[in-house]
Amino acid sequence: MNTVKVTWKNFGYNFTILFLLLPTLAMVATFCYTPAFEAIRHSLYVWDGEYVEEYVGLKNFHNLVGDLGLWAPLLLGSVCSFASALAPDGGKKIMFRVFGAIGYLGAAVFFFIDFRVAGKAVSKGTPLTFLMVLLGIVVLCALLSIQKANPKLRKWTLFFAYFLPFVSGLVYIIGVRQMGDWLLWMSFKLIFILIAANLIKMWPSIFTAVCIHRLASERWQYIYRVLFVIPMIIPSIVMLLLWKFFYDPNVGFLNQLLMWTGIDKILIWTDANLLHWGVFNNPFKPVWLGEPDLVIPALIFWGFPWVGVVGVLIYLSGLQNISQSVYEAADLDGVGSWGKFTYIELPLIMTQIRLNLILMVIGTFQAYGFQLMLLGPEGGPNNKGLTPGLYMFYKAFIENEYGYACAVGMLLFFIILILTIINQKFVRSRANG
Amino acid sequence: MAEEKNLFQIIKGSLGLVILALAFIASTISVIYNHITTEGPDVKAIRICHWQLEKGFRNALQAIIDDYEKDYKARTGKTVRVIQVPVAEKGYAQFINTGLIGNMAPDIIEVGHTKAFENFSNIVRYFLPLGKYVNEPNPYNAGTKLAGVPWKDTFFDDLQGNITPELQEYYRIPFSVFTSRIYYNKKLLKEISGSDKFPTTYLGFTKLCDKVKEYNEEHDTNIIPVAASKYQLAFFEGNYGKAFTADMIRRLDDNFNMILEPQEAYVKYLDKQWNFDSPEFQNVVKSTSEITKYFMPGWIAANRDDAAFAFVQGRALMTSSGSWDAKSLIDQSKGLFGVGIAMLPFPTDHPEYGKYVKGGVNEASVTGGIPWGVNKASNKIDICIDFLRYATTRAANQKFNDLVYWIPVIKGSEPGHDFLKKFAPIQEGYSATNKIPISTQYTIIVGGYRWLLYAGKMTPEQYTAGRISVYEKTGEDGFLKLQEKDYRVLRSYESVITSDLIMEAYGNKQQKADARTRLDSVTLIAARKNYLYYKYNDQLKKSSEKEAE
Repeated sequence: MNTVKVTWKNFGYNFTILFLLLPTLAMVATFCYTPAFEAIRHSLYVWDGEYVEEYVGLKNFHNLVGDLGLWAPLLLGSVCSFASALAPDGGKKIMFRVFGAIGYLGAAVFFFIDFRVAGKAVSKGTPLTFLMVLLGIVVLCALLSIQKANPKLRKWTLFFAYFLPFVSGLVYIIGVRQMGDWLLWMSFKLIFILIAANLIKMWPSIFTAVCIHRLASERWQYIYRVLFVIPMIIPSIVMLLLWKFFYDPNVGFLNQLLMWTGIDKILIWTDANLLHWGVFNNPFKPVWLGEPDLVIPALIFWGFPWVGVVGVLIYLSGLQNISQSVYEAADLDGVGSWGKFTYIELPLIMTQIRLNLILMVIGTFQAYGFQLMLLGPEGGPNNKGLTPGLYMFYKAFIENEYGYACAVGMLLFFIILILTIINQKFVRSRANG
Repeated sequence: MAEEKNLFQIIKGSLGLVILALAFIASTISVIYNHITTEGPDVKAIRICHWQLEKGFRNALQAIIDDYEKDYKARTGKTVRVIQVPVAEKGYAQFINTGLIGNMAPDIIEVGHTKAFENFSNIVRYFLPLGKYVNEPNPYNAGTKLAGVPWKDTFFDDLQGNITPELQEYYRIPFSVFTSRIYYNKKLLKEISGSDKFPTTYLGFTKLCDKVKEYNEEHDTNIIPVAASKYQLAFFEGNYGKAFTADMIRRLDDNFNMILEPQEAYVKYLDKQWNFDSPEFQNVVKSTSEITKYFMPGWIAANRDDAAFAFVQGRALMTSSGSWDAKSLIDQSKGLFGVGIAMLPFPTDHPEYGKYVKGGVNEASVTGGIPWGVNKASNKIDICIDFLRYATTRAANQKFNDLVYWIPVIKGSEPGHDFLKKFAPIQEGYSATNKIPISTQYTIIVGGYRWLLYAGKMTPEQYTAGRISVYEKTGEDGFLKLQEKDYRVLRSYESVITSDLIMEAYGNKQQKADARTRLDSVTLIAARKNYLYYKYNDQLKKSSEKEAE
């Protein structure tokens, strides 16, 4: 379709379309942007959720992060790295590359300090050798980021530039246990574990979509698509409560299944000889949501076999855009099933994967309902299941500190934004390229 | 030429549309039907929301509603509808908060489950003051022994439990009285202990639980001594906590409200007047840990329903709950076993704990439960008041509580079932409440530690050390935040006092009299709170100076 630039001259001609867009825009503005701006505004207030409001400026953020000066290494390192990576033209211009490298080296100095201080603070001592090696890698990456010859290598060194300040800053914060809301920072540990697990849990949906896509019969493809759509009508709360029942130590399905299959004996042996957790014993009745050592595995295992309805449909829509001629050419070249997956299907659905990755990261950071239902507002035994979202919920709806909860929300927003930018920059579809 | 479609393709092409159309038609019919039954020109409808999903409550309330609707129709010829809106307990606070703020809350609201109701300024904002109604006789009591008696005086406690002291005003109308007890399986008790009598001492109680384990070994059974979850833990821990710390709290309680407030506790902690290492706290932890060993496996992750389920299936000797669960538990165990009611034995006979426990916990301060507030924004306030008046006549209240197996709240009425007499509030004993949690971090982290303690992953000594560490680390920040909150409350008092002063100066005779009554008490309460606010600040300052020296 030809695109037409809408100007005042042809406004009358396009008026109908623009007019029809107005209600949607109004709704988005009212129900999406207005609450967002209100949340930003209220993060600067002490607010009890109703009409008691007192402007306190950045006090909520100060309580969140503690002394802002201690965040300088993380912020400076991040700013330098992002500035270089966001340079126009992919950082090809020498000026931006040099600027990036200088910023990178500067950040490296701060990272070194971060790790040293964190090491001392946790009293375990971070080996100096490890730090020197790390510093060496950082310096090398900084130098490689200047070079022009190998853009792929430059891209990956810049990825390292994104990752390192974030990790080192967090290590510093956690190690120093500085002022600020350390309960909130502690809750991020679970988030990173869940993100790592969810990265693996994305793959069953991809494989399922590929299997459906490769079915020869169009009828069966339709049937499977309908079968995947039907569970969408089940409220997620029902799934949560079902899984809570599965995890019940006395009558839950999971323990019964493990005993029927004999896996319980393997777990008992593993616990006694390797793990020494003391959770798998005779009689076999592990409390999946009550033992601190089992809470995180329970949270990760939830949803098995991890074939997400929405994910499958999104990937399927991407796969259906692949032309049949590509497969025919692959057959002629003698490419096997796995080859088709790795060289044709996977690259061509990277856009969908990236979309799901973003949604997954956002969803994981925001997640709280799941933990609330299964573990309670404190996040279960030893707060193992406490997430930033759950903490935000606790602050707002139990402690009635809505302003502070908005500040936590703002922090989560920035973190998600940074991760989304990273994702956008580094997870690209070959189709786009 | 159009391609011919086979049946499968036609279905495939239009199935979604058909489902959508059917869903739309069904929804439209439902909306129209609801509209006709509730919003017709001659129909007045009000909504009443609650979180009581216990078996029998909704039926009992509906029975009273049906009676009221018939009575209203017979008296006035008009139709009124009272629609129940039951909301799950977990989401109730959010439902009410958002409804009140958004002006869409139901007309009659069961008050509770949210901190919004603890703040008197919120109560004033959202709920109708009932003072003028409760001071008049209930017209539905005409022709009975309570005729001519002010409505408030027809309640068992003269409605004193539902007054908001800061405002000297009534905002809630209760329906029932509740206490908590132990429910036990009579059949299992006889089989295991050989006796019909439930133990009345702590050592007898623990001996009975040990006998259950012996019984299981002898008969290869899996009877649980105590069907419990976190919900039941609160019963044991709360009661033992009160029993052990009553003396200590009386000693530390500066403002004589029998509650050790968080700030009060903190400044006295800094002054070394108490510590988590003290025998009182240690004994609460030890005694509760002993009892939790008899709880069902996995109780930490279980819900109240799971525990009730285990009990009514006959898999447990006992459980604990309030009188609100009586009907559910008795009905569901009918045909399997008889249910007995017993008091929680206090460890007065224990060689170690007995030194610190003088007796049981009294229930003299129990107030009317299922308190209903009237939404100020309702446009059918007259119907709301009328319904509440109807429901709190002796006959209606008796009928409601008989159906739901609860204790009625109107003077002259009796519990409808013999076993409910065991739930009558106990007047003798000791009581005091501690509100030590000083900060969010303390509440969340020590909450997490509790589960480790009761799971046997943490010793009482480690638990105490953990509590001390978190309390000392977060205490000052938490104290300052609470003081800030109190300061805001003080400013709210100022606005209430100011408006009353204006009313006293410029109102009519009745308004002047009401304002004067409120001023006397509100000024006193505000002055006391003001005094405590500055006193705590001074005490913190002195403790910090002492520590610096």
